[in-house]
Amino acid sequence: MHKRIALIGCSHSDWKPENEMGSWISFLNKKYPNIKVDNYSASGHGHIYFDFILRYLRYSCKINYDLIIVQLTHPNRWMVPVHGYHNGKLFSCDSNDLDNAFEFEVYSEQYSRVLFKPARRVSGGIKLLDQDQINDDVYKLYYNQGNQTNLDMDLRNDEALLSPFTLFHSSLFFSYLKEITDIDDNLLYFTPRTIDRHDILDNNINQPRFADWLRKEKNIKNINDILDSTMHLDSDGNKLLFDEYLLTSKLGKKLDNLSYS
Amino acid sequence: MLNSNSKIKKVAIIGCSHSDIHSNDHENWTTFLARRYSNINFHNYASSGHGHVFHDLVLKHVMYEEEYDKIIVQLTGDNRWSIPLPHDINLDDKWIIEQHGSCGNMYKHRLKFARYNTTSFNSTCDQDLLQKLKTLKEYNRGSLSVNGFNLPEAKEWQYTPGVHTMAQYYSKLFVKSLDRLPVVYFSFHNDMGNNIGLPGTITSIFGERWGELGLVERLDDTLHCTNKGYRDMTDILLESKKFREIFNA
Repeated sequence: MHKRIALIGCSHSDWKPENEMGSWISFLNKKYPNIKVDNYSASGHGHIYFDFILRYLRYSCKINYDLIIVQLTHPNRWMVPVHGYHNGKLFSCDSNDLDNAFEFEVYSEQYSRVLFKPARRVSGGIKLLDQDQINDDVYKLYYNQGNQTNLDMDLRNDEALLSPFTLFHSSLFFSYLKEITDIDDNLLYFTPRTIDRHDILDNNINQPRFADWLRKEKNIKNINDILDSTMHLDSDGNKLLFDEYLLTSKLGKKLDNLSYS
Repeated sequence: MLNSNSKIKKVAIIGCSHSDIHSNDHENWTTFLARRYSNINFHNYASSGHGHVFHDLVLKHVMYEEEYDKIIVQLTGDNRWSIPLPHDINLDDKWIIEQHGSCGNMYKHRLKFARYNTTSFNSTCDQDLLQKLKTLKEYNRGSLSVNGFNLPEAKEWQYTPGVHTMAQYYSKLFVKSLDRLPVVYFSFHNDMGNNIGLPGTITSIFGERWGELGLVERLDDTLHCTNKGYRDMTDILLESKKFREIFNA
């Protein structure tokens, strides 16, 4: 019987087979063909979304995952519910039926992306040169097709940038993660992009922060050297992340145990 | 963290306007409780117009950054949301804490960080009752909070949520998670459930016990309790053995 894992993250983990972005998951799929991966990651989303998905997986989801992996992201992201559409129809279902709010986009017997259907606007919390273009792509991709209200536009322009409220939420989410991972050995977290808070340990997989590890173990002084033009890990970076950072960590041991058990 | 001492010293209260202390001399069920249990310090984090996403944030704060013996959560509308706003403020300067004017064991906590809050009645679980209540006065649908206070300015671009939005899923999961935590919770208007054995929401119990006239007597034009309503609400809560155990353990 296949072991089954859930993955929660942002664009760094939101992998589709035709994409380079998040391709560390393709390496995971190849190395562990007998582990089924359900990927709840969503580009542009932040810890409020991760918190929501994690809560769903722990308290409501009928699937009993053998391992949940959380890939942390920028601490200043947020999302807001809006009127919106899913597959061309105004999305509305009974909120008592949480499972119906998710759709499995099945790529293979081993790998699915899991999409949360209700519409929302996402504030990326980072300024990019081509913000409008990226917003358009991301929002279309994730069904965030609400009306162009001023509120929507405010968020598109990242008014929530560096909001202390959002940073406070992320800080509390880290505390929550630490609390539950202290008692739940099947929940591991890490990030390929170092959280800009040195008082926070950004992983529980017994590794240094990724940027520090790159400097020390690979003599890569600046993580930008392995990023592509979209500020995501390039192909070599994803391979490095998976083969040498993750597989040598507590996460690698956990995946080995799941694969061979 | 919850305080491991057996003697109860500190109780945190999380909720919306039905629990919020609006001024130094304002009284509601939280101050009535504090007066009844004068040997306990009550810390009131309730914030008008805020929803479960804010409740959740405060709950994490009181669980992971403070030490309380017990936590009470008053649930609210399931379609509310908070939207962070830019705010030039020291990140460590989070809270205003004020002692109540005449209730020395009650402390009001206000989060300073700016945010906009959306409220809505259009998706309540108890439509019939709320439609009746709505006729009393048009409901204020939004609020702006900054430096710990709700500001009166209306926002022209008020966001109107639809049915079954992401906020409602969030609310549903928030309540599910409460069942795993050492928290007591109950509902005021919107029936999000309770874990203290009440037969319904506070307003539905008002209606069942005292009828429509009794309901109007216990709620004001803003659909919040009158002084009489808050006194009866306090008694209703204390009828619950599990709720009383918070203070008697």
